[in-house]
Amino acid sequence: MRPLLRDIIRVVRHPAVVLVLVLLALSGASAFQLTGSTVVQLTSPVGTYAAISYNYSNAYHFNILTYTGTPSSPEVVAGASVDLEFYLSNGTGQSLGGVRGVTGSQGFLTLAWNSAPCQCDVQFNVTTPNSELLGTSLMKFPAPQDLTGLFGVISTVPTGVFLSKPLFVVAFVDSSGKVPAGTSLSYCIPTAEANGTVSCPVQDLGPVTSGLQAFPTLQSLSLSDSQNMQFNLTGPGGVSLYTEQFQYGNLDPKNVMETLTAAGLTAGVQTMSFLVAFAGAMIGYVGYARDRLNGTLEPVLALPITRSRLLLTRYASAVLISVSGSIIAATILLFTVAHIQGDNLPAPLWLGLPTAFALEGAAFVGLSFFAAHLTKSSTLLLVVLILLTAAMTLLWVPVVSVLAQLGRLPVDLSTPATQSAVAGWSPAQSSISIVGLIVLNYNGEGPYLLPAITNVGVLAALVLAWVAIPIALAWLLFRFRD
Amino acid sequence: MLEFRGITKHYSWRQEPAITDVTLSVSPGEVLGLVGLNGAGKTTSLRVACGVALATNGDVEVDGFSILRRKAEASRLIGWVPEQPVHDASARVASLVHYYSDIAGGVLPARGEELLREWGMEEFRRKRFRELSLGYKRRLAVVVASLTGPRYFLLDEPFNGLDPVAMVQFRKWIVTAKEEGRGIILSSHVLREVQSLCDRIAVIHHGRILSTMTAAELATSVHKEVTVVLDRVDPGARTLLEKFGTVTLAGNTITVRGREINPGTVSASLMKAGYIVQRLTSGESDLEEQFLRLVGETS
Repeated sequence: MRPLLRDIIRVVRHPAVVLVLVLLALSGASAFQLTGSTVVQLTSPVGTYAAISYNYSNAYHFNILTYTGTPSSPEVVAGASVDLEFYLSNGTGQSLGGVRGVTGSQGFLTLAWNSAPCQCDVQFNVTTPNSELLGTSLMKFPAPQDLTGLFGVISTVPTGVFLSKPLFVVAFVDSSGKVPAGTSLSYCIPTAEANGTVSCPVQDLGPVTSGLQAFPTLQSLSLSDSQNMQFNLTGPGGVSLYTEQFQYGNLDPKNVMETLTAAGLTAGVQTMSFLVAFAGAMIGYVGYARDRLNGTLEPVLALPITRSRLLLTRYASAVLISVSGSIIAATILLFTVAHIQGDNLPAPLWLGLPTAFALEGAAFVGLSFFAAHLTKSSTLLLVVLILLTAAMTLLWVPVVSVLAQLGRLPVDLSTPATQSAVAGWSPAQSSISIVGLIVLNYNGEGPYLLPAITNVGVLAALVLAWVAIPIALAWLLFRFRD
Repeated sequence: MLEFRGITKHYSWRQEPAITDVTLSVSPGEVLGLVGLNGAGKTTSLRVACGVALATNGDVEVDGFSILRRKAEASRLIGWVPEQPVHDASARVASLVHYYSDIAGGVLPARGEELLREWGMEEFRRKRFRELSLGYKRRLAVVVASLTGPRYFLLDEPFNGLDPVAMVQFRKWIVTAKEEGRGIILSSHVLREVQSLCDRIAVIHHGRILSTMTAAELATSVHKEVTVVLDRVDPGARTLLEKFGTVTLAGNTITVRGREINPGTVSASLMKAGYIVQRLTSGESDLEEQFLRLVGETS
């Protein structure tokens, strides 16, 4: 035990490790800010009004909820008729023409753009039906000064009744907020046919003439909570400007809060997964690779200790540090999300997220150990690590393909969520996302991944393999070819 | 006994092996000198022997324990003192000693402190490794190497870069270790040190052992030279001096090289023959020259 403790102390005291562990812990607390996700919290005499957003690559998705009570037990109180006003502003709160709209007390909207994003902000105002301002919040977007192509869809969805209020469409073509002549909107509702195919007959909603426009046709529609709806915005000359498909879930206040929690976690997990990988690699570097590269491992090798035991001790100490750091950071993140959202996070979350990060950290510690055997230069080590990660990613794709051919894939790849979790990322990231999302039981986009597991044994073997292969290779090289 | 058994070490398959088929042995209470030019393979031989580097072929056995198969047991019997000791530069001396004591296992905490005292390093306990001079870095290396009380020491160029005080201390320590019955392999290219300390000497060149000889044998192989400046140089002077060794002429200066040259005898012979010796200098060839000769003989 003493050599292990000595090694842990030796590594933990290194300034680079201290720094990376502090960063890791801070990332748990500041995940929202680091990823650009924003929580807008409004208060008024009649209750708390929350508009919470998170960002994707080219669109901002807002989940808007007005409620009374507390975030953990929100209620829509009958008669508390409060509107949430939404418009784009020029950054000083001044409205850019034609884009002011009233969305109602509950719903969500999507802002997206086909080309460059706008230098604009989103203003949320909470008003009474008599336009009395109750609360306001301005959300700034760091983006170039160009409104071309900005497009937004606003829908209002009172609990349990879909589209009983107008659907608004906002389309900008320039800074004056004009909609180009010839712009039209259509929609379709995917329907399953008897032969198993899905059809989506297009229904024309007519021209879009102003920046903010209601479509009465939509008011007569009645959709179930989980039904999809696709909107197509067509520009002059029939050019498709934007297509958006919505899948409306059950938007009771509690479900909306869960979605918001998922949004916060998604943002936090993305940042932290990078930091955990970096921390693992750094701890592996300080714990082993650095000593190996600059020769300070040699006096240890001359002592009465076998090579296997030396490597195992070094690996165990590095993994213990990495795993501890990951677990602490993940726990901080969960506490942060739980505190901000006021949500009671499900129990599997507390187990799954730290486990996933612990595995990721261990994988990158091993990768760092292995990389130290492939170069003699500390400065090249980072390059080697990146190349190794890339190589393992390339290896991951054929492994998934072979497993698919053999019918032994651990998860059902029929959904985009599972596809991105399994096929698109590096092995370490995949193992994290698979383990994390499975245990988390949701990923914010749905559908839940838990039912998608088809082979737990293969899944566990894959995850463990990605963690174990790098350190096993390092051991072979250290033990037999040094 | 510490035995090298046909050690070959390739660092890269694209290069020649650093050492080839090296076979050596040293017994307890014996000092073996490993001499050779820079890059001859001395350091690699010692690194393989203590387990820092893995042999490509062959093995090293220490009192019956293989460094490859029973490394922990074998390493406990060996203390390695590298030429350029490398440790964590920011670590303090005391913490390094404690760390290595823990890794080695079975070393009492007081042992490290005692060794630090013995080597006059008590006041350096709080110093960082990078703050030490080469002499003290090497003293620390001896402390670390001595933690397990090894039966054999592998000393790689122990006198290089040391001040006279440190050299005396190291020399005394080697003599004491020998008297305590410890076997020592001492690599060096300073012939005088090797001659004065070693019982046997192995000559290594291009990674191969050229010869192993006792200190006495080496002494007889050392060439001495006498250079004289005469009032005149004629065939008679040359014939006279060729009796002592190989003669080289340069103007009025004649250099004689040989294994048994006494400057006094040379001078007396010349004077007796009527030559006036204007200047006479004498010296021994150094190891590098010896090697040039040995290598020349080998090839």
